[in-house]
Amino acid sequence: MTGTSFINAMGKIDEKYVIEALNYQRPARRRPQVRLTIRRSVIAASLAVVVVFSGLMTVEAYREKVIEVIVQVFHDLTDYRYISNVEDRDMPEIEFGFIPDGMTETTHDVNERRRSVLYEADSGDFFDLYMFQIQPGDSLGQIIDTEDAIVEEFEINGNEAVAVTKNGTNTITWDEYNVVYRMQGNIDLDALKEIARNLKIIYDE
Amino acid sequence: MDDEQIIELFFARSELAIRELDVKHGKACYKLSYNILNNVQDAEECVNDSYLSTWNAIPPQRPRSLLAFVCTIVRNLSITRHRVNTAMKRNSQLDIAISEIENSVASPVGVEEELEAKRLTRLIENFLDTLTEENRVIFVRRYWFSESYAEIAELLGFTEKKVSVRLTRTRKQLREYLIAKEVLV
Repeated sequence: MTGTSFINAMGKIDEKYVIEALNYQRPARRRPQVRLTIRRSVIAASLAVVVVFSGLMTVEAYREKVIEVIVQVFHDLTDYRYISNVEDRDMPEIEFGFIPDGMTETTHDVNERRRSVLYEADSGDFFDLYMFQIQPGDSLGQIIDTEDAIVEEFEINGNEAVAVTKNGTNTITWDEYNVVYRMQGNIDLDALKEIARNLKIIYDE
Repeated sequence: MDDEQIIELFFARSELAIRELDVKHGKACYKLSYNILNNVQDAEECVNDSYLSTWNAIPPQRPRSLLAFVCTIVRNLSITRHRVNTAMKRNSQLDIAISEIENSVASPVGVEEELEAKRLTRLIENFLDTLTEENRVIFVRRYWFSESYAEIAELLGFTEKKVSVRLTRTRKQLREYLIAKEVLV
């Protein structure tokens, strides 16, 4: 056998090996759970502070829109601030219309103002969804690390949305009525968008 | 435009199919061809020829993966062109890959020359199935796509040294596998 005959034989291997090599994506290193929890706690705490102190703000300037979004870009962070001026509604129920194969729900916490859902796969893939409800007149802020990140504006079911990709982590944020949604994970951005687009929001009438 | 839509354009016999194919996968096709031929003009010609072959193949064929389908055509045309260009200086990634694998699969005894190409392909597939996904991807990227160590390292987030070590081990495993199957002595 020669190297050439080997290379020729390689050329006839089943297409599945070629597809595997083409589609291969290096597994994103999963963040340690403790760090994830701390990060969530920090975000939750900062949101609470913002919501409490901004409750005194006047809302006359924001009568026209359901949620006013103010975006401030800092050196390496972007602050998305949401101000609601609509009638209060209960936190909606949700149904996922699309979940990538192999992922299962491992956490689902909900209270009056916040819902968090975590989906994980054995491979280490994960995504989480946070929903933050804003009371009338309050504001809510979320800070996203956008330094050297890829930022894309798009739409989710008619709502303006922003996607941020950095270090193998994708984040999507959008708002609808008085709820701000943030979805984050190490899965493919297109898959994350697909999940978001197929998320069914159910309000009690 | 996604691959399914491009395939539908081929079925509709719309020449837009070629344009969309080029927009979406032209870069990957060119890179593959260039790795084999190490010549810009030859690579461009092979990619253009592969588009024509794809046009003639779809329909009736409906590929599972459009990219894998067109890459297979590009690889075959590029290797054929490489054979024709025998006077060319041997310095493409394909030449380097061939000389690498030569040491692992060459045998002083000629029995293996009688080995049917088809059987050899089946043996390679069986061998690939014994590898981890990561090592299999490295091997296929190297000996199917003729990619350089640097390109593979970038894909996997490894150093070139690590890719080199992995490939050396895999080639050694391949040699042992072929000896066990009595293809090599």
